Amino acid sequence: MTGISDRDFSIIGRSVRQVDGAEKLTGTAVFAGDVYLHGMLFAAVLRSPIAHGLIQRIDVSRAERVKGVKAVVTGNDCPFRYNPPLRDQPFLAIDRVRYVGEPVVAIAAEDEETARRAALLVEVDYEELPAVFDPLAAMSKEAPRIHPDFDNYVRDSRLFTPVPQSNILSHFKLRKGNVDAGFAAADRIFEGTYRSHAFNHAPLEPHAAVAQVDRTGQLTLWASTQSPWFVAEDLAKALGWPVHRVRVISPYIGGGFGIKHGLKNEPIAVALALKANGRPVRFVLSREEVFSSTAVRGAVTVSLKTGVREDGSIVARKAEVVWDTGAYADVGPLLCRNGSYSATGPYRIENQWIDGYCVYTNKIVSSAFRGYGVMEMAFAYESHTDEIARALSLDTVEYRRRILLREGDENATGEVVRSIGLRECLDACAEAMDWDNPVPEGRGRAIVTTAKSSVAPSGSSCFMYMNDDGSLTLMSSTTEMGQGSRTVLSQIAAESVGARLEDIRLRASDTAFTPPDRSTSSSRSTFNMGNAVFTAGQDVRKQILSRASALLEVSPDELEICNSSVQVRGVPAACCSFSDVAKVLPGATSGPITAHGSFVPKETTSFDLETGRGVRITAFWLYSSQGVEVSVDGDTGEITVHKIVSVHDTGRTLNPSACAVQAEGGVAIACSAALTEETILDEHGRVVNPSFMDYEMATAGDVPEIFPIMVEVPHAEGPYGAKGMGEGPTTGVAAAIANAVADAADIRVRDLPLTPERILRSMQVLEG
Amino acid sequence: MMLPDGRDVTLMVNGTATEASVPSGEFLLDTLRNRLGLLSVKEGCQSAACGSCTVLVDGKPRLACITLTLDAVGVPARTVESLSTDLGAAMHPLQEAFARNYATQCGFCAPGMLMSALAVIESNTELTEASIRRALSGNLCRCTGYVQIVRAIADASERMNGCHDQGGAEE
Repeated sequence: MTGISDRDFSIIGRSVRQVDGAEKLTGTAVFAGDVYLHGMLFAAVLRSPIAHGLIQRIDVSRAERVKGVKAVVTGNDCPFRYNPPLRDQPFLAIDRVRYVGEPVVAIAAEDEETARRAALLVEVDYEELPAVFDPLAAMSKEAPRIHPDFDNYVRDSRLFTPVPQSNILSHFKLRKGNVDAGFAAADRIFEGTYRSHAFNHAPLEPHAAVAQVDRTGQLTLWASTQSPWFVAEDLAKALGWPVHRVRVISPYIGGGFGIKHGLKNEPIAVALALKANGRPVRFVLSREEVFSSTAVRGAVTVSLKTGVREDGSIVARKAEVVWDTGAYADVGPLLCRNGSYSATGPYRIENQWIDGYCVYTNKIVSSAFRGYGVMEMAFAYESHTDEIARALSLDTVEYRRRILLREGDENATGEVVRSIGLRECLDACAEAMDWDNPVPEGRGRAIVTTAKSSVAPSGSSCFMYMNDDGSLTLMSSTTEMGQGSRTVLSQIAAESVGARLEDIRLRASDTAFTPPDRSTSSSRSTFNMGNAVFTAGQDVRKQILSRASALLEVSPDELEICNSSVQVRGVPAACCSFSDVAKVLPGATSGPITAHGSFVPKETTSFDLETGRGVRITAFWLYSSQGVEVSVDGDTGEITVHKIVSVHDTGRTLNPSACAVQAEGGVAIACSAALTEETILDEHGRVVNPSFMDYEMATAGDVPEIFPIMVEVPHAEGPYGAKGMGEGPTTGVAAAIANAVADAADIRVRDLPLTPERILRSMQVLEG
Repeated sequence: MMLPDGRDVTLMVNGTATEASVPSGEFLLDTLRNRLGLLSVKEGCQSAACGSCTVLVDGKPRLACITLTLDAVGVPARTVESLSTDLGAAMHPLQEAFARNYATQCGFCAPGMLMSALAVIESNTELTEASIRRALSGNLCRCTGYVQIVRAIADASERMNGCHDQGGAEE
């Protein structure tokens, strides 16, 4: 977008207020749990108390007799499986349970208390089977098979390769160059194994769903789901219905972070609604259910081996990545792919060999988390990068400058990278960290760089039309969960048309009306939906000019649009408002102003299953650099994070404040996860800390000072040059803290979270 | 219902006296949401650990999920609905400060957060960054990292307690 200066824009690039701020701050924003319908029933679920077993007998007769109970369902009543690209997950357990907390029987009753009471009256007999919790153990041929019926599941075989007769549902391979020759040419070899832990997304709003099936068989689902079309399609396929028979409405979402991307509690509400004789069924999870039976960010083990020349250049990298997906696939196969190919980092490495394994265990399911595998990979590769630099006595920032990917380089996946803002991020971070001057006495510091792709190919579409008063209705399926999509899409709409921001009426996320969009995930909305909105806006703008030209009797070329009005260039008196053009003129040959926008990134390709490579596997990358300063208390093992600098290449910053608060929030969640949070299971596979009392999440007093910085390396296809940025802030924080701890205390901790206990243990190891 | 012994009581919520029939074991959260329709009061954990249901009872922040409704009879209670009562009218200076500072993201914790903030501002103690952070220690937020929330409260406190007649100053 060279040649366009900031003054050409009136709305993008400015910190306009959040368009939905007033709704959220007055408590009038409607969340799925605020939807109450006439005749609504309330649901409760009986869950598996064991990690692995066969269901011998279910007796629901006592529950059915409870006054007020209207529907009782078991897995046998709904033989459907969901979750693409591997349909392995039943609505309710069928014949077998695979983790503690798996839903077995669901009940709908006139009130919540009755439903819960009835659930306790259900009798289930299990034949307990040996369970496996450690993914490395689960990979062995002798391990208990968690999905003996694996071969019967519907799957999209283009996307992943299972290992037959095992718990490995996906083996991802990336092969680049000749890794053996690379290691042979190396002067030094470095090796390390890095473990990221399981933790909970913990959005403040527990998952909520209300489902209703009407007389015609139409299903309507109000749900706290990030991705209404994804969910509609998944449910429809599971039920064997056309997608239009499922209408999904996503009101405001009280935080998602990935755990509200695919189906979670919704199938249970649907299973009950199918038997509720037309009555709506509400199913809102308890906090305990969110923590112990919904999903986690899963544990990942990364083993790296790197061949380096004396000058530090990397000649070979081998990586083995083991993803613990828990009892069901969820996004596992895709996470295994997109995460694993990120394991070598944003660096120039000619010869690469990566094996990623996605493995079933008898645990709570792992789902997408903001950053989609890259925070786990970055913890490994950026810890490793610092280890190499220190061993070679090189400055860790200078070393990164030397090995970073540059414009026109080919990355691990075979893509020639363009619009790469890595160096800009790193330089800005080093400056903000005052890297050229020594760190204050008693402290340690570190800077890391990361890159994350966005899901592709993936399409977005929107509708736009003009109202009688000249305002514009924008209909988009992108959901608002705090990331600010309503604001930025409104800004793009207003800018592309020439309207005032307050004239944009955004109608969001109802699959009966808002057109298809893959998902609100993967930092993709600003780029993908933004482009769709831009296209629609340009079309509307053209139609406005054409009508104004008829009204003002001049050629469209002589007109300009500003602040929702059209005027003849240089003649302010010759003008008309949007409401003037909104009216259909007598004798006009066209109807109201309407437009649509549709966007799929050009020429993105899928992967070769043998080499993990494609021509262009993502439409854009999120480039980031993050710096951390810490001190470590040698007596308590406590880490104090003094500050975090978080730099992101936005392409173009469409709203500086919105980007800054995304960075602050992302850094805070990643910092909290790296230091204190963990979903802990006992030896039976039961989550032992399923409450905010026992799960240590950062409060207002625990968050360090955060300095967000945006750099802009425009993207040729981005709306106004913009890329996505929402996930960047989570990616590098854990690695940066671990490296800063190494700098401060001369210890290398390769396991997360960085608890005081772990720090002390490492220090004692050093002391011998 | 579990407890049929409903008692007819008069609740003073948001400045209005409201009659309700309330079982003795009912919590204020359920009364406010289910009987009075005040949906701003959010249920995030049911165990007094997240702060999303914070309301003011007699001017003090209380977790509605563990406050018995019968304990709130006869004392004024406030929810975020009391801050700006008329649709379309200007928001309360505290809400304005949150909006100005981008201090809300998903909005789910915001009503409870605002009530805790209001209590600390109205306590008329001197506010420092540390004291604001302490006052918010019972209110979890997963989106913002608290940075702008703390800033917004300091901002609001300055405008509400410090400088008078500057309500019009913006941006």
